[in-house]
Amino acid sequence: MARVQISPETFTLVEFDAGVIAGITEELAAKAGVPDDVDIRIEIDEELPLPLTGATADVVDGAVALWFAGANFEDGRHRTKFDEPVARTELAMSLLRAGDRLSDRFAAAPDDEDLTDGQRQAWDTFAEGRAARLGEATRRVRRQYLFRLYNGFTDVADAAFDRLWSADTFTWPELEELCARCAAADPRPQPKARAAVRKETLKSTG
Amino acid sequence: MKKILPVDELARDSRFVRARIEDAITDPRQARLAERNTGSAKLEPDRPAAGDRARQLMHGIFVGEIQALEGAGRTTFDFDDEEVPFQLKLDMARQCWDESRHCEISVKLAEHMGTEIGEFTEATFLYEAACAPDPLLRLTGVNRALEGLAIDVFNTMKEFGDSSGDPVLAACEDWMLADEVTHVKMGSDWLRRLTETDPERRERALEFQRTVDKLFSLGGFRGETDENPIQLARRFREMAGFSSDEIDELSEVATEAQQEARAAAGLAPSS
Repeated sequence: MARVQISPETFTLVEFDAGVIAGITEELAAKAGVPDDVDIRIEIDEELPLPLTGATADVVDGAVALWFAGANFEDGRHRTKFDEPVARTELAMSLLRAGDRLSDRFAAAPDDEDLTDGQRQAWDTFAEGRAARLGEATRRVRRQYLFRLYNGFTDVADAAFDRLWSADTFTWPELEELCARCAAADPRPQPKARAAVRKETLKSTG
Repeated sequence: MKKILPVDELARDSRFVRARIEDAITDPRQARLAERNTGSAKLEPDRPAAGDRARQLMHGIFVGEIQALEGAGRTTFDFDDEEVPFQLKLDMARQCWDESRHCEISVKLAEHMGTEIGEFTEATFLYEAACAPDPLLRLTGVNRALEGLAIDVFNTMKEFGDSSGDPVLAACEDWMLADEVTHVKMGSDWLRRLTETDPERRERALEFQRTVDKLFSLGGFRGETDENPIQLARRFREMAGFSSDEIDELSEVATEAQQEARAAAGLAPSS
């Protein structure tokens, strides 16, 4: 069985190629430091168009389990088309985060669905900064906007963002503490709910 | 210089990619998505993908501002002084100045949100609605219907800025919202003045406005329920010269457009 498995194997709603995605994943997994003997399972929800982006990166039974909305790989200028640079960044970030989970540094981190939005954005920032240094095309200002949305439009949050973006090593307790400091400086009321696209869109219609 | 400039002759550089409404309607994912319970569609920070949804909407506002500038500019030029009072053209020229400023603000806001010019497609139906050969139809179709939509969109974005704690977005949207209220008021005032002695012509123009309003309700894009990303801004519409009856009618048009879209997707009517 191949190390990288993509589901679905054939896309019917979008113009994505599972073989291409698997190839990019193999290449990026090596760059991101995911050990060769770890299987990688990727599930892509092709029903979710832009702007309904969302992704999770977990480790299940020793294998890397990534989930993406199709929107994460979609070209904003050409509906249903695959945007390779964007897809590479998304895959690199998720593989780096999965690599974190495989290490002792993030052993205590909850599953992605149980992270707060602020923690999730902080971890994504840490991952995207590293992806940039791996040579991938990243979007720092977009990431900072998303980070601010959930960690506050404050100087404390901006300083935290800079630290996360430029860091090569971080631990879960450090990341948790950084988010707590951002929350303490954020004048907004605590959010009512979490913005987890996967949970929302998997609800039954009944 | 050519009068009544067709949409395909608008000046754009290579960053801009045109979208068509048909592309969205025929996208097979739309029907699938409509079958899924994605919860409230209102633009709020705790909604899934709120950041990217706001970024895409901001890009849509930016290209809308370009087209609003082009539309108002055409109205100052497309008609002579016998067809349109000079004072009306002066108002349109003032609107051009406002829309130019809005373009610049929107570019800066998009940059603030990490969006590049051309990151998303440009739908040109706003300009297309601004090409009516009768100046009165432009007042209703553009100033009252489209600028009215701008009131709803800016108010929604301002509220998003407030609730997400983004002072830059909230302040800029509030600033632009004030201009849009003025633009709609100009449309309301000129419609009344130009049709004072011709109620039939006024009714025809209002009928065109209803058509544009329905088109821009975009199958549930705008309305007054949690299913609508853009909320009808009643208070600001009243300030802009809309009567309560007109706003109620617009709300009904939006509901109708939403139910038609659900029916087209083979779904049961929403409650």
